[in-house]
Amino acid sequence: MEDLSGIVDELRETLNSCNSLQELNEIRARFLGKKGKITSLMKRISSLPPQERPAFGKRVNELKATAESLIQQAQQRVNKLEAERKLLERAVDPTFPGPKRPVGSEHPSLKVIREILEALVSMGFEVVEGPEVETVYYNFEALNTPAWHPSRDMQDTFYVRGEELLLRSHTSPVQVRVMEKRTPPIMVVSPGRVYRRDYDATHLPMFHQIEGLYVDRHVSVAHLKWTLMELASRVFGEKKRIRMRPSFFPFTEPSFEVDVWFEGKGWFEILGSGMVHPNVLKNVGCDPEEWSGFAFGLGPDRVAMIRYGIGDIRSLVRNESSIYQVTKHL
Amino acid sequence: MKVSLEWLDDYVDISGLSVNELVESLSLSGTSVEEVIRPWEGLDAVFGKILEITPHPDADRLLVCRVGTGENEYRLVTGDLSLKVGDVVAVARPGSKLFGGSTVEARTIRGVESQGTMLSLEELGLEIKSKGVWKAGPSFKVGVGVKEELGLDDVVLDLEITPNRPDELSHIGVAREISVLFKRPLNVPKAHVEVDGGEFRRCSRIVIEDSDGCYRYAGTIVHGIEVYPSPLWLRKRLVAVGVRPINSVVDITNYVMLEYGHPIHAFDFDRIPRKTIVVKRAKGGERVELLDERQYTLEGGEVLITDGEEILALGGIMGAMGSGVEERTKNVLVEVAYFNPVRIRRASKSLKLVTDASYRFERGVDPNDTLDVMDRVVSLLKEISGGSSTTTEDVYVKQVESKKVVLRLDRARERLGMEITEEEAREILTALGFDVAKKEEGKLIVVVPTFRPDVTQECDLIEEIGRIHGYEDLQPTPPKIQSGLGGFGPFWKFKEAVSHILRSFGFNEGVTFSMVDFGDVEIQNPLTSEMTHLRSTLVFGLLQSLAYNWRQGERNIRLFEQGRVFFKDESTETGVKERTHVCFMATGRVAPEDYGDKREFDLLYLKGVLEEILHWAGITHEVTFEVGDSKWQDETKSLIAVHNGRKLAELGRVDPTLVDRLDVKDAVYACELDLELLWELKRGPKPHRELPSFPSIRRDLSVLVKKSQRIGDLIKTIREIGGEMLERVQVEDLYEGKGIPRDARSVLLSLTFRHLERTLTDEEVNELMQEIVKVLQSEHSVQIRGLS
Repeated sequence: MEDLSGIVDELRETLNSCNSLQELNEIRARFLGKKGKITSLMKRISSLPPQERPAFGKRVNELKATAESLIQQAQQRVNKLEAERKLLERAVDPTFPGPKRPVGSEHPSLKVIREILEALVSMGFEVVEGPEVETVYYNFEALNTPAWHPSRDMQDTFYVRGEELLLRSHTSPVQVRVMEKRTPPIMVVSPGRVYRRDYDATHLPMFHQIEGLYVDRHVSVAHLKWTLMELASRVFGEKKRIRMRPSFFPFTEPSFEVDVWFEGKGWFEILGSGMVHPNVLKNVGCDPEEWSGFAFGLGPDRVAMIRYGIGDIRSLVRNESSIYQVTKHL
Repeated sequence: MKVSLEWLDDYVDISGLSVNELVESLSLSGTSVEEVIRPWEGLDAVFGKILEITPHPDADRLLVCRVGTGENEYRLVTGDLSLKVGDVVAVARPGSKLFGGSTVEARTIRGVESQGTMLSLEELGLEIKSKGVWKAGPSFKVGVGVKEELGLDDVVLDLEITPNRPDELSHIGVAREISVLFKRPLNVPKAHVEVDGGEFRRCSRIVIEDSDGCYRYAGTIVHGIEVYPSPLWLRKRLVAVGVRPINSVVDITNYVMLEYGHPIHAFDFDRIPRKTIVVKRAKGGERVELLDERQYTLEGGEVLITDGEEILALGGIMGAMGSGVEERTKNVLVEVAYFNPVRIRRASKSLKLVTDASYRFERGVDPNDTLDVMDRVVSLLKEISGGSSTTTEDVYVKQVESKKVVLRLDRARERLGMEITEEEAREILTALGFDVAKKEEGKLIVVVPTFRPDVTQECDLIEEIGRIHGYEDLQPTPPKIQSGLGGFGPFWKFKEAVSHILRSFGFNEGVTFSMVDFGDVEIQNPLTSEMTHLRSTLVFGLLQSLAYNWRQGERNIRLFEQGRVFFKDESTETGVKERTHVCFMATGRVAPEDYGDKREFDLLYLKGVLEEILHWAGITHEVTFEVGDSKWQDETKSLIAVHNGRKLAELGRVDPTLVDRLDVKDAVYACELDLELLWELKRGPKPHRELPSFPSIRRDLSVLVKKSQRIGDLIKTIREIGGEMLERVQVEDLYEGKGIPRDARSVLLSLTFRHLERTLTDEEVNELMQEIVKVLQSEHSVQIRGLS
């Protein structure tokens, strides 16, 4: 009698090392296929003497059943493996960075301008603009800064034609233009570029300014103070302390430099302001006995430098990529 | 303006006030303190007596001195061979700081350790060039601190004086502010001069021919003076506030100027050939050498101090060479004058010469303190340099009167928003030197002293009251605004929206100078050769920024700028037309952070961005694109966008030679759009129409088009045939290259059909498509590759 258990052992061994569906199908064919080992044993039955046939047949059938059950078990194992493999093929790496199409960033100074305008507009100011090439009348004379007055030295100016046409040295001429055209109450804010002959580590020959103007009946320094405090709080954060230092501008009287307190850094001069000078009101045909007002001007570039930690003012006109990193965020 | 606290104390008692209190009070009342300076900070020196002098064992030109300071003895090595036993000297110990900041160290000189140094006046800052050790003399007590004894523990405030306050360009002026702020009395000592040199007119005379330039001219002659180095106390005060001591006469004129704020000039009387002072107006063309040893050619209109012929001084600015005080000077003529501020300023500007005198005269000195100032100068001169003085000849041709200004207390209260009592107003104004009288209830008549030329009207008085009262406690009050005042305005919002679109395409918002090196409008006084004109295009400024980033290593750069460009245009108010443009510019990859998109910028991408803006503005179909030419574009790759014959935008590749010159090695593309024209052309929202509710039908049409054929013409034809029912035609794909003839491109168009009132049938659309195909083939000789 042949020993058939060797076949079972062989099958067990082969199945143990089988890890894929394809291998398993091959194994099945090798043992149970048409020319498989077990199938050929079956075929041998007819060639045996009849008395041996039942016993051999029984053993082969048992062998077949065992083989089938072993393959069945292996099938389950391999199926599971195949499923895992498929899952892995389709797997998402949750740590893989997605492709990005970032939006462009705001310029720091313009971002500050937008925030300040946002605040002022919500307080009732209207945004107006004026020319950058100005006449000496609007830039100086109408603003109570006559020729040959030392206060003209406060703003060293670029001239375009004679002593008549210049690059505005501040946004204040817009005040005059607006007051000439409208009757009070007037509440406007004018942002824009201004020019002065000054170029070093802390000055650019072209920079930004925002000018606010309010003209109405009975306007006082107390109204100015409220407006500036409100503006400082909205732009720099809750309850900012401000300090009004009396100063001098030809077009306001009284005049103030205004400092804002930054914790850990101290007072920073942020803006100039004052009550509109009666001479300026007269120049635009506004009766200073009836109307009064306040004006303020501030430099958003300086605010941007403080806020975004920009050390070199020239970064602002080089448009270097680093300045956009800081304005990318909220 | 630098003021010394020790000096101020002559006029107002500042004892008990800390430096911080002073700084704070001055700053919050309008006198800004820029810096607090302690010129002799760290000086550690005492007076000592030389007890013994021995030759240096190893050097002929050095001495070793044993110096006693009472408690201690020091061994000090010196090169000053003139020292004698018994001399009193100032001994600085190791670690002591000297004037100017250097430090004394214990040094071993040729084998002998020097335990400090014997100071020269130069090392104390009190002499410009010292020959040797300062022999202080027996009046200084051994063991006493040098700093305390000479008043070198002084504190100096560097003040920023605004142009309206010439009175504060003086110690008395600042002392007055302090006296008002701290309610302490102001004491201005009055000098008394005994006339012991006879009548001025016996030796000289003064004529003012230019009464517009010079309102007042006072002169006094002091005979028989000796020009010395000034006494230490005077030198110390000058040095503390940053003025170099020169000699007693010059130092005294500087000293009194810093005291009163009134510039003074001293002539060597013997060097005035005609012994006469004639004040004239310069005709122009005169040449004169001034005390700064430079030649000036006069413009005309300067005020000249002459002797009738020769120029002695440029009035109010600087003396001329040849009439100045020298060491051998014996007789001086002292000038205290008042010059027209505007004339001084013009002269100072035209000659580009700013002096302490011109700075004060152009801001306005007090014409009416002339005689006090003269007495002060003459008395100091006689005290320090000796001599006898004549009477003072005072020619005052144009009287400057005190102004009277009415102050309404109600108005002050309303403007300041604070409660001011009549008593407080009076108190403040009186302390500031104003004379106050009551006119009627609620009104004060205020006489303004002539040292305050800035106060001319009521608002100036209100400012004075406000700044002294202080704004710390002022209760902020919200303005009573009318609703409907505020808003951004339509053009502002329009510009912001365009910025938004560009940022959404990944362009960073830039700001560049409006001044470049070429353009239509020239700047007369440019600061640098790169900024001589106002820009007429935004491209070049932005290109500079792009190049800067490139040089910093960036390779994918997207920038845009919104701003004005400038053109000559005589039809405008100023002759210069300003126009708001926007320019966007890029190099490198379209989406560098999207690893799924490897495309580089090209003309078509830029055109797509522009078309998005045009689409937003509602004018896509009204704008045509043509091959363009402009100086910044590479002509094979540039376009202009035109609307009814008006140029709306230029776009293209920036001229490679230009780009290369800035060291940028990649292609740069740019588009400049006239925002104001776009604003003018834009279409508002379409009239109300129901949103489409019936389904659309889409057809794709693949065509092979010759490169000489314009796609725009095909799309136009398709639109015409499609009519109302054709909602959209869009390029879905573009292919050139393998499998396609070199002179052709393969284009996949997608057509969307929709009817607004009913569902379209396939048959209707098919009919239209057949017609489209037929016309494209017959009229445009387009090869149809597929239709689905």
